[in-house]
Amino acid sequence: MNIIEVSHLVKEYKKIKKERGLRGAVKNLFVQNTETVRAVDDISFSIEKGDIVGYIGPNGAGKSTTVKMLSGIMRPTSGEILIDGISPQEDRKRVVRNLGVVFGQRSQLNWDLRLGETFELLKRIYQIEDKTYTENLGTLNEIFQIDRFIDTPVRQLSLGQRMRGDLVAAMLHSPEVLFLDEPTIGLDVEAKYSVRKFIKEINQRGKTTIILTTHDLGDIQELCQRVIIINEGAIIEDGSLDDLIDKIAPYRHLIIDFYHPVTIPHPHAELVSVREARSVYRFRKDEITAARLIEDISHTAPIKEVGLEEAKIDDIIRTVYQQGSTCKA
Amino acid sequence: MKTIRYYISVAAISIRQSIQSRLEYPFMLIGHVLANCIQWVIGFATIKFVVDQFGSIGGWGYESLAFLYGMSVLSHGLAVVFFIQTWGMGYWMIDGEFDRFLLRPMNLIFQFLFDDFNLIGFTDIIPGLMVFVYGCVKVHLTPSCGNILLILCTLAGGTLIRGAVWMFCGSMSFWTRSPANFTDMVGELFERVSIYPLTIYPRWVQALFTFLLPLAWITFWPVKDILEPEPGILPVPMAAVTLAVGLLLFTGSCVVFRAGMGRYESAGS
Repeated sequence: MNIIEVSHLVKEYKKIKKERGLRGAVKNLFVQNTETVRAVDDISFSIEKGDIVGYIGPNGAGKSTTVKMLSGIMRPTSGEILIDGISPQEDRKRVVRNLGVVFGQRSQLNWDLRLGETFELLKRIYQIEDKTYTENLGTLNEIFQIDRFIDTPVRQLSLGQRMRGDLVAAMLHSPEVLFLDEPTIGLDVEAKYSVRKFIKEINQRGKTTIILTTHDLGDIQELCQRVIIINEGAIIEDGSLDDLIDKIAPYRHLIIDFYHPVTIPHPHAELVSVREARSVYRFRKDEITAARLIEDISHTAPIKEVGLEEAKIDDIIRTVYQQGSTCKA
Repeated sequence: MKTIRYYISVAAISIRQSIQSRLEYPFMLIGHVLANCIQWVIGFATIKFVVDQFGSIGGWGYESLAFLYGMSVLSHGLAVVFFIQTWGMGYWMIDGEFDRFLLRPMNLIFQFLFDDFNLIGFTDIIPGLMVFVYGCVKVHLTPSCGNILLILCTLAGGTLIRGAVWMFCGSMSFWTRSPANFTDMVGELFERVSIYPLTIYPRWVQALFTFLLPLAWITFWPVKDILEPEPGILPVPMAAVTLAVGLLLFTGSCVVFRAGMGRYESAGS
């Protein structure tokens, strides 16, 4: 069943063009040159219950705008959004009751008070029963160990602790859908690890559907079964990360160190470089396996050491972003 | 009924937490107590000085002026307690602070009004109460149920009028997209019109503040009616009109707020 349905979503902005200098400023009072920009340009997708979907794209691609429309903060110019069958624009209160949202760059915690106070406020707002509240807080605490800083004022928390607090706050009412907008931004390795663990666990325990926007491709690699890549407001790729890698970077590199300098060609692999006893082969995953290649070559000369190089995820995504902009331009 | 109980329970915890937040910074509270007491008491001393020199202001004697002044500071304090958030609405809009409300399953105006119950307003209420009680004694007001009811109506109505006008001004930011709004200027205006008797102004100004921009209802008309009732002008006490004007303006400001939220576009990337 699709818990999120987005069809032909469009968000237009009026961008104002200003003229130079004082003369321009006075002129702008009377005549304004506006230009309509499409931040989100006809996006459609659907997400199944229990999926974790990575929603990625370069800065200004329209990621946050999409998330804000999905969560009912912004009104789309046109198009339709259904969260569990309800449009957030038509029945905001009903949709958000079943929704958790975390913006990495902003916090919903009360800055002046101990962390626990925000949870108690949310307990009342979402009308969470005492028993459920204790249970949920217990479970979330198991993953995150927030009881170590639940009595600290939010203003004194580290960024990592604050983010954990925000994630717990978003999950207290056990929503079915969770939107995370850059939840790992600015976090250190340890905090990032624990945020990822949290996302994985709540997805597995409660079958929570998660949309995650991020610039950290480690998040994507570890968490997302599916990635949607957008650029300049339009979807340019939608599928599993493995398929994407196969499509964009079908080649892998095999590095072999022999005992002596040799040159051994292979019919299914291209010998890209030979330097003294080290040879580098480039091959396609779908044509030959690395094991087979090593075996073939070892028949000709004894091998000392092998190494396998995958295409780097960063490079792949960069290629996708670039392709996205060139095909539009 | 269930909904009302739900909203009351959230209001209660919001108010409690707002007070807790203010208590986190006790020195700021003490500072406000001192500053506001000094400000209002000196303000009143100035009036007393003027009266001593000229005998009266706008035909009002010193005793009645104390009563009027106290009433004005009281409703100012109450408005600060309940409506302080309106002062910063423009910044809230630009920083995308309204996002938080939109993500919670409750009425937006309710969330906005109860987000910051401002304890600091009580630092106006304390000197206000001092001058007011002093005024009540000086004018020999009979502490009858009727009078108490009229005073409460005036305070409620006056608070609502002030709050509503602030909310109108604050909501303008949704259209201007600028953090600046007219709440400061309007605050000045409130003082000029509610601390001094309206009779010091020319006729057309009196009409302006009675009918067009009904600020004279905050204190002047109901206080005049309490101190020297003139039956026959209106079928109801002026205090009732104040309350009605307050409720009407407040409802109007809620409508404008809602319309503004419709234009709200969040912030940043």
